[in-house]
Amino acid sequence: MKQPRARIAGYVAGKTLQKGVSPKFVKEVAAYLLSEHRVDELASLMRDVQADWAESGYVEVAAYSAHPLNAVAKKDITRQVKTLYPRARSIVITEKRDPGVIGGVRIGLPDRQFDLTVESKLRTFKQLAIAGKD
Amino acid sequence: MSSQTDLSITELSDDIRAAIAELKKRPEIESVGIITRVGDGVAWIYGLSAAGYNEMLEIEGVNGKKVTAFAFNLSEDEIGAVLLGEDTDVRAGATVRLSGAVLEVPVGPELVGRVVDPLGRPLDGGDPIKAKQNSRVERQAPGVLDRRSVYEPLMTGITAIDAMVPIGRGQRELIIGDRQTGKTAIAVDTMVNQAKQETGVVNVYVAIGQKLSKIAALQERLRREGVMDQTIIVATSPADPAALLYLAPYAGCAMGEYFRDNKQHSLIIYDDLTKHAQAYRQMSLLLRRPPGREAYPGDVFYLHSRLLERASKLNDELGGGSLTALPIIETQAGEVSAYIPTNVISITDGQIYLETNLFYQGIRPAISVGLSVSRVGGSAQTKAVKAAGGGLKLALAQFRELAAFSQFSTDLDEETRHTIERGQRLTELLKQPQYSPYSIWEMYTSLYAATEGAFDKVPLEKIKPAEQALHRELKSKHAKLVDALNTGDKPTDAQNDTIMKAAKSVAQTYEAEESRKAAISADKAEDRKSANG
Ligand SMILES: Nc1ncnc2c1ncn2[C@@H]1O[C@H](COP(=O)(O)OP(=O)(O)OP(=O)(O)O)[C@@H](O)[C@H]1O
Ligand SMILES: [Mg+2]
Repeated sequence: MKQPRARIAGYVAGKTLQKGVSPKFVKEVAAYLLSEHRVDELASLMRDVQADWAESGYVEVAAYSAHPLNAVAKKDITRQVKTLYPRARSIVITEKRDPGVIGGVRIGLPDRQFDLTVESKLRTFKQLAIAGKD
Repeated sequence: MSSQTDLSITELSDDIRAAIAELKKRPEIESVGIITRVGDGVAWIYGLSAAGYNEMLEIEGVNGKKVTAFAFNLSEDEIGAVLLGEDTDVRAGATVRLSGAVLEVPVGPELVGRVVDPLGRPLDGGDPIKAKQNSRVERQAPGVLDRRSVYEPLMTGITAIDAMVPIGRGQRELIIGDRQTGKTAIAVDTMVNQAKQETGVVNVYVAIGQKLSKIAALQERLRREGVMDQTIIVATSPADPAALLYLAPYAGCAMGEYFRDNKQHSLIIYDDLTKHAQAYRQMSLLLRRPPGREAYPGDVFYLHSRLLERASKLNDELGGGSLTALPIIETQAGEVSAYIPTNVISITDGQIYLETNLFYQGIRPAISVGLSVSRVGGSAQTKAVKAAGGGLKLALAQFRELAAFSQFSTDLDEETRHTIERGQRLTELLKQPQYSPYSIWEMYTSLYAATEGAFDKVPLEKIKPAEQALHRELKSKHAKLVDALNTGDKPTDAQNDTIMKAAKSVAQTYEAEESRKAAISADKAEDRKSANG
């Protein structure tokens, strides 16, 4: 009776990759979640959809930074993402402003996050410093 | 494949979230469901997650027919609903709407004199019922503080009951016995008595799965007896969906409660709760509730306890109204320890137990003296009847015991024979035909005369005629005494003397007739002898 979430995600991902996001489709998904009492699962479902997209070569990256990214930074991100998803054919970077990010950029990927911020570099440095006399 | 390059999960997520919020604002999304399966009077509905237990649902049936159902099984992703109409009018795929209301029936004086189904729709061919008020079918019973203990009698007009197992207003007295033992007759006579004695008690007769011809005959009889004017009949036949049978007692109860809650008195008869339990079992099995003992669902006790709990005597602040219940249970081969009988026995305040044996011996009503009890009615008994009935139960119990032991014995001692003869006469006296309830004075004078031994010499088959002669005599010559006794007060010694005198003189004529007959037959024998000789 109850559909596994992965299956719903697969359906949504496939449909959107083929035909894009139409208001009618959005409504369909909304109505389904409502009638199934699964509105709570929306966030997880979206993460699954994002992963499915990536799996099919469409990687959407959210880049959080305090200031707009320049072309060099974007290229750098694309390169990094390519190493993670070798099969990626299109990589779309969605920029997000986050004043809390000190220097650099934090990248949100479907199934992982990586940090290119100054803060994390400092943290890494501190850990290394404590760990040994390198 | 991936032709799209402008997809954004954040946007998609926000869009869906907005769409959900939009849909939630429109109520029909939550309150429209679809029938997935239907059959045997139940329907399974997908959607309608907001439905409440017992909530009324409206199904769009075939050819635009609207079929009512009520939600009975609420599970996470499906609702089991019970149809109140024909399941042939409902197809899978039909739309279902919530009504937002739990089941209600019309109540009030407009229903009196009518025959209705459990939804208050007329079955007597009369006009639609225009009641000013509706009441919920399932209602909470009055709490302890809202009640007062039973103290006013509800006379059945049947001497054996009023004298030995008296019923009070607000009481629940079970009528139990095998099939065809006169269960319905007792209930009907009680209704008749309410009219004959002009008690003003409103009768509600709930027929559960009874043949329509039987119900029609009853209605006609009640009309002829002048009882229909203070009676409501709630009727269901075996052809009706199980859900209607299940609802009938609760609907009838709501109709009776109206009078209770408006400072009046009402009497409700459930004929019978055995069929009611069976209808409930059928519904429950179809809805795949787990079966328990005798395949009844686990909550079958609650089925009847919540119903019978609603019979009550209200306290004075609430108007002092009452609802008396006479549930009927049919047993198999006198088996009172079966599941449903034990349940209902434990819920009620006593039982009138009818025996097939007695019925076929011609002792009708076939009330078993030993097994019938009334746990609260004693305080409601009229003083007059109490005075005469006090020793009756004991005398009869002793008699039955002795009679059983002594059937084969030829030489009985004087005392035993006396007890037996008295017992036989009392038993004879308690026989009573249908539709002829006794007034208090009739009960009292019969019982008093017999227990005081006035009829000891009257032959058994002449007991009833002698009783009738006594009643005629008193009615014509002692009208004042009759009126005084009918108030129910404890009779005075002078009154008792008058009764005894009348009884003895009546008895003599029957004794005399008997000895004269004996003499005649003896003469004839003599004649034959001499003719032969
Ligand atoms: N006091 C009585 N005197 C003579 N006949 C009676 C008396 N009471 C009942 N009867 C007759 O006995 C028969 C059965 O009575 P009744 O229908 O009341 O029994 P019941 O137990 O309700 O039967 P069922 O199990 O079919 O509902 C009827 O024909 C009725 O007329
Ligand atoms: Mg009957």
